[in-house]
Amino acid sequence: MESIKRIIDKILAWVCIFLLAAMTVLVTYQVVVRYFFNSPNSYTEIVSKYMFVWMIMYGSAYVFGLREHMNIAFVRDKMPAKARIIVEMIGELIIALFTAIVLIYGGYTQMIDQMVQLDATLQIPMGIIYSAVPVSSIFILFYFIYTEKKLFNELTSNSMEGRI
Amino acid sequence: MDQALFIGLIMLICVVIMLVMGVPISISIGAASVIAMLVILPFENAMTTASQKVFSGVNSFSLLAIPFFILAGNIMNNGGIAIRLVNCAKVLSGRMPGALAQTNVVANMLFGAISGSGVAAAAAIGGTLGPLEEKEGYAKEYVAAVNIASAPTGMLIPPSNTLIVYSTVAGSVSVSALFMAGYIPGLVWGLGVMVIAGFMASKRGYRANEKLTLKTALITFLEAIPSLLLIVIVIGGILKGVFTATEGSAIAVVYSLVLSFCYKSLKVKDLPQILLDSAKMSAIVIFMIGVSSIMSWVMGFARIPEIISNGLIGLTDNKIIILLLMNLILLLVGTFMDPTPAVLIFTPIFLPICTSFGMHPVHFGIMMVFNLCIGTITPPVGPILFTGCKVANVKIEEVFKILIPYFAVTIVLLLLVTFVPELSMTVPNMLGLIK
Amino acid sequence: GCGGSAKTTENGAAKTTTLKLAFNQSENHPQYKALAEMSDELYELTDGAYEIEISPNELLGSQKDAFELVQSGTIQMAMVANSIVENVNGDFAVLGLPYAYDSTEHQKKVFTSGILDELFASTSANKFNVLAAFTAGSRCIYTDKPVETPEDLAGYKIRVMEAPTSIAMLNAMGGVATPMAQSEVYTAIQQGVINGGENNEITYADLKHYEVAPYFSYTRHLMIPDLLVINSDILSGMSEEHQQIMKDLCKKYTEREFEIWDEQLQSAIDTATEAGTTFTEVDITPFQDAVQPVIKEVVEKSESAQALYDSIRTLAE
Ligand code: NA
Ligand code: NA
Repeated sequence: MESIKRIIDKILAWVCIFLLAAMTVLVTYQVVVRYFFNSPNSYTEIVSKYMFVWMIMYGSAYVFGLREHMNIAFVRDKMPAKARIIVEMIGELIIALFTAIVLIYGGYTQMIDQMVQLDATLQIPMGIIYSAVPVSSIFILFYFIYTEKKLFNELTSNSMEGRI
Repeated sequence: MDQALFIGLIMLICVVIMLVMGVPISISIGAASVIAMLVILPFENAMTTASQKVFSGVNSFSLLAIPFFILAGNIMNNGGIAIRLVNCAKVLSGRMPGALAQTNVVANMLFGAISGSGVAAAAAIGGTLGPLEEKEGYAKEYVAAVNIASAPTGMLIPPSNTLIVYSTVAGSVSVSALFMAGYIPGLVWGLGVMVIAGFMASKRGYRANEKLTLKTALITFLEAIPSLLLIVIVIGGILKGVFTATEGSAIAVVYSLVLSFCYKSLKVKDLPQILLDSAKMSAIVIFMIGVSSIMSWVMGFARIPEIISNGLIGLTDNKIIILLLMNLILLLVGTFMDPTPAVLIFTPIFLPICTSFGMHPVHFGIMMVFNLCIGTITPPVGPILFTGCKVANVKIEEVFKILIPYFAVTIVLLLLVTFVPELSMTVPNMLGLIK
Repeated sequence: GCGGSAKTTENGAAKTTTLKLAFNQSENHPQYKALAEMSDELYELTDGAYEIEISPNELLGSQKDAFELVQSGTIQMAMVANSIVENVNGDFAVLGLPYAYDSTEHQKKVFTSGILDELFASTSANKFNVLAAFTAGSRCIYTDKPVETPEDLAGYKIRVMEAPTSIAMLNAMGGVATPMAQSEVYTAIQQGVINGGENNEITYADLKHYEVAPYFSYTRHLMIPDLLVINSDILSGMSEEHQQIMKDLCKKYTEREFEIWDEQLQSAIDTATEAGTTFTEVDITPFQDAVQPVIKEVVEKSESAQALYDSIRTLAE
């Protein structure tokens, strides 16, 4: 499990690094071409926008793995250890439910619907761009299992300590 | 009518429960909205609509500015630009009481004037200046308080990621006009902090003992020019119409990158980590924007903003009382919520009310962001408060007492920003950005 | 399980089905006003069985999002751009071709004569029907000088909508098509990034573009309608009597919207004139000739498109 997580982390990290670098290059190119060569280009804006959507979706999956999404933890952190872990486990479950139902089920349905819609400029199915929603979410589910397992271990080892 | 109230209550209760449990803010908002949706829509419709909202909430070219400004800020922080800005600020703040603290304020404004983020400023400038100030004998809590109180100016002085978020939620509000409108409120905030900091410094007996010669001052200033030029290029370029705000943010990245390589303070092998950190920070903010658009949609569908605004207007038609009430709500919200989600949730509710009595959307945006900036430095939850305490290695409780006069001054300024539209509107009007 | 989830409430003796209608502009828009009147009359004529609840200002999402919501039955109706429906049935492109209509009168005849009925029903397999085409005026060129011939546009960067036909059209008319978001246009003209735009008088006045581009030339090159769409299950779920009422009302308010448009048009022209705008009548023939290749490309895509174009042109005489 640990090694699978490391591999997924690596993949997602490099996807984000590549996309952000590529977006910077594309948008800069767009300005240069328009300003210095006076030839407006409509492709760069659209391509970089879709790269951005992908970066956000895959990037936020990565952040779920790190458990660094913004939250308000001060109440939870004041709880006794065991209660805190249980609340954390429930919180993870809520993330997983939202991910499975909205992002994967709803997202997949939308993606299929969008496969017949073509992007006006690029002439590729919108569904391909949309796929980032359900596909990135599969990684969130993996991280959910990983985190729950870890929290569960923490919970049981805590209660062991309590007994000793 | 009843149904709308019911849905509103469900959302509110669910959000609060999940937030208290420490569920990520994005998921709390999203899950609460989806639960409310299931009351009004069949399962499948609710799910496809929710996922459509997430996608279209993220699918916006103007939001690209956010990762770019974050990236530029991270590069500046690593690339020797921050230190040159600090040196320049030192010259500018000269021999005021508590000169190093004044330097901190000016440097936060300069750094914020490029990076678009108050947290980045608090980390970069506080981290650089804090140790120097302590060496001069300044108390840790005092140093942290000044750094914390002045860092939010970066969210008002352009560019500002929070104002970009506002412009996308408010719809057809010009980013350039908002940027220009933020200048005076941002500067006024900075000056307010300087006055208090100076006052406290003279009471504590902090003085400047280092006298700068004109020559060193000049050299420092010259050295900072390439860094300062970044402000001119980005803001000037946006105003001159050479590029849009989004394109300007990419130019800021390229420029700070080139400068950092010239200073030899950044190596190519550092880049992946900087890119990854920036992508992560952006993902956190923008995923939240995507997911909260579910809530905006549910509110629109159930006509909740209409009901709240009818309620408010039914309560009183006194514009001043309504604005005071809104500010109070936002201040309370700001104590535990970050500016981005607060902007996402409250813009659709409050903006229509304010425009109905003739307030300009640009003025409203500045008022709201100014208000929420105060929230970034108030306990229990304040990103700038946390960052400032972390870099200064002090506890929140210790800083809190010293921060009180700063809270007071910012709230007075908030009232000014609320009731004196000229503070926000003069600059964009002068530049012809307001129609 | 898609479609047909309109909210039904007990209302005295009768049950009222609320049809949620997504609208992307403000309450001041002529289309909104016509739809609001139509809603009242629908409620009356169906004895309270149906009412339309309009959500203006993109409250329910962009036109494209709202269109998808109509298809899935999450909401029941929407006013959408012609180009969105074009994606489903290419023949709709004909309705938005440059110089498809000679005048407002001609357009009104096309929209109310019944020649579009077959086209409007053609999309029910895609879970929506088109109920009506509402006018959105005629788009003309405005810039810093009168434009009377294609030569006047040489080297002029004119903002157009982000659509391949619009770009091809403006280039054919002699200018340099520059696609750009509407929110950027004012500053872009002011700062010389572009030289002007093309739109109807109402939008021109609303956005105060007369301040930066004070010459409005009546090229009348585009008269693209907006389309009122409804979820097909909702429509087919209505009794025949109610369907007929809906159909008649759509026709009535298509005409009514032309009237409201004209009223607002006059006040827009007055506002712009007071602010110093020069309105110039233009001989459109050279522009009409210039865009023929653009028309040809769309019309020759299918026989049905050609037939539709021909029947629209027949009504011009
Ligand atoms: Na800033
Ligand atoms: Na706070």
